[in-house]
Amino acid sequence: MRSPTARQDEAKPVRVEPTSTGRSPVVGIGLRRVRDAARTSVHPRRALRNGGATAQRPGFRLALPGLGLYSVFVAYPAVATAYYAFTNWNGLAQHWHFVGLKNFVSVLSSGLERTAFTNTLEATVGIALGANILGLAIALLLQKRSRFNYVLRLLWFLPAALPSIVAGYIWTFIYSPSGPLDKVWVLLHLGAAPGFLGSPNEALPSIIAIAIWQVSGYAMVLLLAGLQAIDEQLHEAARVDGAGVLQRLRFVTLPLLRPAFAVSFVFSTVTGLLLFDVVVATTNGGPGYATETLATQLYKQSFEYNNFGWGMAMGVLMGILVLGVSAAMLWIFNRKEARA
Amino acid sequence: MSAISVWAGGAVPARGRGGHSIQRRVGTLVGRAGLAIATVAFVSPVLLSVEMSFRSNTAINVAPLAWPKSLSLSNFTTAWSAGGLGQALLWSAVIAVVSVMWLTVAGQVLAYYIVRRGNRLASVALLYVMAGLAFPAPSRLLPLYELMLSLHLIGNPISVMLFQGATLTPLSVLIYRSFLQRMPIEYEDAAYVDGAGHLQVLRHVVVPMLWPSSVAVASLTGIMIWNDFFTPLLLVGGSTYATVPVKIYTFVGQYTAQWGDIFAGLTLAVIPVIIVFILLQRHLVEGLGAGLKG
Repeated sequence: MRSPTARQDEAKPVRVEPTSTGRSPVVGIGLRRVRDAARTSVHPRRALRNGGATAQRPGFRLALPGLGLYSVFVAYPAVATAYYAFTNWNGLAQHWHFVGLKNFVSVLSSGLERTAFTNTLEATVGIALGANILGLAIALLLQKRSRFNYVLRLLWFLPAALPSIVAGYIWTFIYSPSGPLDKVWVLLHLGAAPGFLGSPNEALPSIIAIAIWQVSGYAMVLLLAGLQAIDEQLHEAARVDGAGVLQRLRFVTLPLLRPAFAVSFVFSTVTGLLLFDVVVATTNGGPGYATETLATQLYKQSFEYNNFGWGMAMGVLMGILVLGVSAAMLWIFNRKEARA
Repeated sequence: MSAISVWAGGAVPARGRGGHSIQRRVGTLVGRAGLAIATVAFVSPVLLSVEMSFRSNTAINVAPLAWPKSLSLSNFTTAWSAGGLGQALLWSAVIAVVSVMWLTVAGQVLAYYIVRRGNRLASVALLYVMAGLAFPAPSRLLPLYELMLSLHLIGNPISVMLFQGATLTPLSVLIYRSFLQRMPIEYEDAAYVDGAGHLQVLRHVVVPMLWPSSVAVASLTGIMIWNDFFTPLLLVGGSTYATVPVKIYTFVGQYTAQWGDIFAGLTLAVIPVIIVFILLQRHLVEGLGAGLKG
């Protein structure tokens, strides 16, 4: 990593400056200087020859195309959302004025929004737990290297690569009355099949199952990467000490998987918080409001009722939720990692 | 990157755990059979929908799980022309290719600036770009819509390209940055010593050396762009330039009970993803690991 002081070294390569290590330059001048020179990318000979010009550092104009497009179509809309959320702007009028927290109050006080909020929360917890437990199980079963496992891993990741809206329609058919799942139910003599998407109580769990079907592929891949980073010798040592399979899983594998879990949990919780495509494809929020989520409400309120201020307040709240939950996941897993 | 090895298993032969007793072999076989059955069950919805797309609508409604008696391609012609899926595939491909080109070129140069410049301005630029990860599409949707409206780009595929190119910039920079940080700088220095300028160094040193990460960025963002629905629905929904997921959505609305046509549409939507996935899965996963680690 280069530090701001590195540039000074470069500008005056002959003089000994305090190095980025922060130690006194008196200690081991020669070697350290050469090493730091190498680290700061300046070839010592070249630096001496041209007086240490910074010509080989890329200029800011290289960053401009990327930063420009990003500023116009990501940064500006994000800042504008936060600004307009406090106004009564409806997307059409030329004039608007500040209304304070009115939009936020109306989002948070409506009963329908509370339903959407609890649904989203339920889906987030369900998806995060379901996808990671299933992903971990598959990753553990398929962690040995073989051609057989390789093909199976590809297949377990397949649903993750599908567009969510396509997954939603496929499952709408599978869940449909007298559809495939219904037939399987009869075949296995399980009694009357549940209503799945048509039943107010079973619709949300049915949608969560679809999301788990997709997200578990990502969890598997991330956890497999984590598993393969674990030193085999640790398992060997635990085995020598008489630890069984479950004990090794509990005391060796799981603690060392925490960084992988952190990433996987961030991914799955964010998917849950933004749940939209699958709901639109399956129930569109119904039956009643049983499967309304924050994202479906944002769309409906903004474009069916032209309530833009409301939609932007919801957008701000979703942003805060995503940021807060991601930070919480990283904190939880890194804290435990530090303790372990 | 540890993620690389996740998919590298193919070349390495299976390693038994020492013992070769018959019991253990039978155990392995039973275990493998169980795993294979579970896997087939897991992906069966995909297999089922591909199979359905070759059946007539009445055959599906009467016996959804029965073995097909005859196969036909008529669903595909309906989906392709009447459903407009052919056009949607074309526009999805154009949008994905243009956006991915932007993300690999502008994202790479931006990451190069951030990593190799390494001064305070570069750190601020990095922080500024990464802040974008904290604003999901819903937190930007409405001003973006107004912006596109004032640029007269609603219903124009350019709006989706601009949106995807900008939205995925943080991910692209993150992946390139993690590769660049591990790339030795000596090659670039040698080129500079020989009198090359920034653009020459980029073209002849950085781009070739970062090629694997470009494939990772292209495959990962390509699939994300192809699958995205939330914002494209608003930008090109109802227009002749609808992307595949948006078209599927309107198509299902038109053909509510015609499962055969719907499944043909779903199959058409999925085939390109599966092809890219099979060709590039190693890079895809690598990029996923690098991107999410940031």
